[in-house]
Formats: sequence, structure tokens, C-alpha cells
Amino acid sequence: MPGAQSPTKATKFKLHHLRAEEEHESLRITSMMDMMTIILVFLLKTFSTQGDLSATEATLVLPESDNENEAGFVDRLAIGQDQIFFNEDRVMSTMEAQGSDDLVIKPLQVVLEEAVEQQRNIASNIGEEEEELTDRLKIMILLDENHLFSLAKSVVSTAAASGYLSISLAATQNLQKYATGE
Amino acid sequence: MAGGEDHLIPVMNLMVILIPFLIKMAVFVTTVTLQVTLPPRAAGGGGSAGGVEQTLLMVGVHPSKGFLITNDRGFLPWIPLKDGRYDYDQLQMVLKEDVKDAIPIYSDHEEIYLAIPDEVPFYEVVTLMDTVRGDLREEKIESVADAQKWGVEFQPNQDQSVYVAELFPSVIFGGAVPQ
Repeated sequence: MPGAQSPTKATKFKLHHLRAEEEHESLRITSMMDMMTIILVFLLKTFSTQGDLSATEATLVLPESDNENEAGFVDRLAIGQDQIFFNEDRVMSTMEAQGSDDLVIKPLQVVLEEAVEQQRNIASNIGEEEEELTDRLKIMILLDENHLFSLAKSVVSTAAASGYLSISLAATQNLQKYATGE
Repeated sequence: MAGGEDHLIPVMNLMVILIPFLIKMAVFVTTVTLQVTLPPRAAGGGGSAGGVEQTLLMVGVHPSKGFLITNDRGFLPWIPLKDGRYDYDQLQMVLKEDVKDAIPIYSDHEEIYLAIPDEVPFYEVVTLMDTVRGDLREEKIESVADAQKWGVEFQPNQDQSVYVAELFPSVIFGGAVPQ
């Protein structure tokens, strides 16, 4: 600025000293915020991938297993204590499924067949071979541990009848299950 | 307080509440899967397709009698309940010592049929599936030959391994429930 005097060395030192004092007095929370943000993002990620949303919604308790095969990105059918959910969409009540006279549960079959058809359409649109469909047509069944085998059998049969090529049952991993003599 | 930082205090408050909540609610569990198969429609299923020797092996469950291991040729003695519960340890021992190790056709066999009555709870079914599968051992895959042996795709420059079951990992639901 024309006419303005440049600060002397002593003034510069004073200003610097004052600023340093100010910084000492205030609480610097920016770095703490960074840390918190990282923790929050990490926790949110853990929250969404580890907790099974279908299982949460269907209110079910999975049985324990010492198996090592982790669930991938597959279609999920959760058979809860009261309701049946397919990929987080309610399909029917569990009681209705239990009361089915047929081995194949018809209302469930309709929903599963639709999903299979969608996967087949996607595969044909992107030019996938028939053999590659095995990777697409996978379903994981989350069944409450206290349901009876009759229901498990009906659900597995329905999934197979709907066109799923790979069917697996979900469990909570517990590597100590047998080690502790349970 | 420094100019811009005072706006962060409400955010900090929110985070301090959110983080303990998320830690409390997060489910630190791993969901695993157990592969199942239904019996083939063709009669006489089980065993290798086109194989001359029949290798059908089945474990039947009876709620009051226990387990019965059968194959095409006969059956082993019942494995009775122990203190009113299924004796999974004994079943695993018999499957290993009297079937897998003792009968040559079963040494490389993986399939097993489970004949389970409708009234058995699902958690017992999962325990039975774990039992007939046996312990798992980790096998490192370091070459194409290793990958072919275990039926997986070889991924070079990666730490690759598979879990191999000791007994019968391929479970098929079906068969006549023993009376």
C-alpha cells in the first residue's frame, strides 16, 4: 500500500508471539474431528456389511456353525419368526408358509421366479454364457434357529423349483462351538 | 477460540453421541454359509455319475433313537442319544473310523444324504451338517496344479488357500427317515 510503513522486526516478533499465545489458549479440535470422522466412517461401514439387514428386519436368530465359507453378494431370503423377507422386501407371513400343504410354497415361488428371471435377463443383455449363470443364481437362506426342518425343506425346495442353482443356509460363525463342548 | 472452529462443536457433540451408539449396536459377527443340495430327480442318485460302484451314504435321524448310518449294502448299529441329546461326537468318530477310513470307496467321497424328520429344529440340522463335514484344514494354493486339485481358479501373486473338509462336505437333503 503506498505510504504504509513496513513493520519492523520487533513488531513482527510481537505479532508472532501474540498469535502463538492465542493458539495455546484455544482448544484445537480440527485434528480430533479428523480422527472422529475416520472412526465414524469405519463404524458405519462395519455396521452395514457385518450386520445382516434382512436378518435384523425379520427378527431371527441364526444357528451357529464352525464353517469358514463367508457369504458373498447373493440374494437373501430371511425366514424370521413372524415374517419372510426377500432382499429386505416382505413376502408373506411365516405362519402362512408353515401352513402350506405343498412342499413348494407358491407365493414365495412367484417372487423368487421373478428375481431369477431378472438375473437371466441381465445375463442375456450383457451376453453372459449359460455356465456363468451359476454365479448369478445363488441364494442364501437365513432361517431362525428354532424353526423346524419341515420349513427349511420347503424353503430350499421352493428356491430350487424357482430356478436358483446354488442354495446355501446361513449361520453365525462360531469357531469355538465344538471346542467348548457345546 | 479460533474463528472457524467454534462451528465444529455441535458436530463434535453429535459424533460423541454417534460413536458410542454405533459401537454398541454394531454386530461384530461373520455370517457363514452351508451349501445344500436336493436329491437328483433320477432314481438311484448319489455317488459319481456313471460310476459302476454305488457309493450312496446316508445318515438317518430319529428323535428318540439317534443316528443310523446306512449305505446300499446295509447299515451300521444305531448311535443312540446321550443324556437325551444327539451324540454328534460319536457320529463323527464312526463316520471317520468306520466309514471314511475303513471303506475304500468312501476315502475320496464327498456326498452324504441326510434323512431328517420334519420335527427336528433347524439348529440341530446345522450341527449335523457341521458334524458330517468334519474338521476343516487350510490348504495353501501355490501353483496351478494345487488350484486344479482343489477345483479353484489360480490367482498368481496372491495369498490363496482353500478349506478342505475331513469327512463329507457335500450335503444332500433327502432319503427315507428311519423308523
